[in-house]
Amino acid sequence: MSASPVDKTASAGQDSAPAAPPARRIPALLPAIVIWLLLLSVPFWLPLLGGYTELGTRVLIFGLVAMGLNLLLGFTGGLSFGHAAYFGLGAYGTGLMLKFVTHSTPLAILVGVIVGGLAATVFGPLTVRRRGIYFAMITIAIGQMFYFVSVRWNSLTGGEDGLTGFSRTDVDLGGWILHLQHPMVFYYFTLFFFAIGCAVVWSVLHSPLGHTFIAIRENQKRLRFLGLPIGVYIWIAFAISGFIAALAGSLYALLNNFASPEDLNWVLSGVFVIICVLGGMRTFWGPLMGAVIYVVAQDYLSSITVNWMSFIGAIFILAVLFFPWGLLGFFQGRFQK
Amino acid sequence: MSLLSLKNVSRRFGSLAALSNISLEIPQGELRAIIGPNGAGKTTLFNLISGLFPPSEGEVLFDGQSIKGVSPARLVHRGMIRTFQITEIFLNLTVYQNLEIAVETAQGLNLRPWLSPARRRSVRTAIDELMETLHLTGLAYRTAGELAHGDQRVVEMAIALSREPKLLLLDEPTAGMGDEETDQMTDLIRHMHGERGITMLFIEHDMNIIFKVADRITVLDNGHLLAEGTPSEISANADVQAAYLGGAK
Repeated sequence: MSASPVDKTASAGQDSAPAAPPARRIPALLPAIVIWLLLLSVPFWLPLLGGYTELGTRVLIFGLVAMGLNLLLGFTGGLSFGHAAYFGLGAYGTGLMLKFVTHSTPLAILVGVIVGGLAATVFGPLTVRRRGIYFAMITIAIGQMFYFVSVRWNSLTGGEDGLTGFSRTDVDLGGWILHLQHPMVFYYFTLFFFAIGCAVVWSVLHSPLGHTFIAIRENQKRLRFLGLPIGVYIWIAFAISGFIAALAGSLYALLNNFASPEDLNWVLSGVFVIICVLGGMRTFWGPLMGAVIYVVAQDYLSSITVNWMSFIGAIFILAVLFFPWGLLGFFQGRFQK
Repeated sequence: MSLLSLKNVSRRFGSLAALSNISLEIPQGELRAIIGPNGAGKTTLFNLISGLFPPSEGEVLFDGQSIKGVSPARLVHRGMIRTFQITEIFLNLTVYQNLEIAVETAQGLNLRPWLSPARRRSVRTAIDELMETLHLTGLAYRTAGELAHGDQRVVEMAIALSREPKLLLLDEPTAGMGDEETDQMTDLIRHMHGERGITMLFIEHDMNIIFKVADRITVLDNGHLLAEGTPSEISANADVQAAYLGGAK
């Protein structure tokens, strides 16, 4: 192999390596500012486009779970087809709390997040010893276990009919009442948790922990020979994404006032993966973009035809063929060139 | 005291004896070259020393302690770092990111989801120093995969050095390099050895480099230790000439 030597001193002379390229700082923040402004104003512009506020809330919830999953999928490189389990456990945890134990929505959310997140934390170590397709198979197996429990345990979960008989209650913030049954209030309530999820993922990605995740995706052998126990870090990524999925699931149960076994099924896990791939797995905002496409397309197409799944499938195939790095990945590539 | 010592080490793969009864003593601060024809067992020796698999017989001592049952990761923490025949770096990341992960790992920060500004600065300083020492500063924001092979090799060296190893194992550091790159790498190895006093063990085919930099040379042939000595002793050794140098020249 012949390699042309690069004249390092020449390039070092003209650019004495700033700590971070400063020119990119402002444009890097710009998309985030635009996205947050759009999200904050959804209830005002979405109806003008023929949408409704709950649709926006659903986008946020699917965006949240996909962002959490993407920490594992896009940044650590672990393909999980089982994250619906933690999403669904969050939904059932919250629903059961509201139905049988408490009328406090925040407490119900907290329990949902802990139940789903702990399940991911406990079952994560079973998955991290395997790589690639075997990792995916084990995540499915663990996920389906919860699905079948929810279907069979009729007396508690309502079986195949799903869990009903609970609804989100108003939240009292020291005299200031949040009327969560109002769609717009619930949208902002969800946006608040979405923002927390974003902040967690963002700060992790910009920390040594996140750098380690990315390094695992890139070259496990190198990392092992730097003395790192890879499995522990995949486990941490798995657990964090599980907690975020549980939070999203909890909000989903509150949105629908209903929890369904389908919330735990591997089909939904596949949807989460599709959302990440559609939007762009290597990007921070890609999963949100994928959620916009998926949720809006599903809402629109399912009002036209019962075969809406075929159209979603077609969109997915086209996206993978023409935008293998996802829509956002594609635009970022364009922008940088 | 020897930093690394192998006592009557053998390794078999099924009926194949890859290494037979090898004894080695590498004193602190030595730059030792391992040479031998293809299939002599050089890489097997490296894999064994770095804990990838255990010896079938015999014992390996690093820094006075047996490495039996110690994982490669633990050995790294004890101060043993290796590079590979095929460059192992993070090809899709920039040179800066490559060193960032290396430095953060060396400083034991991997579990931190957040860093204080002071910590951030100390990480950055360490990266900058490393880039300066290895003349990588100008390449900081280039993607590692786009670099010339020789520069990728230097990045790998930088990653290895970030851990401030006691013992550095280099598996064919100049493989696939052009003349100019080979010279750069040779200078770099000399510098690491001279300035930092790092003990090094390297597998190499290029006799020029070996005779330029090595303190001592160990010759393996067919899994056996054929000879050991200074470069001049080795070049005068009749067995070595017959088995190895003679064949080549």
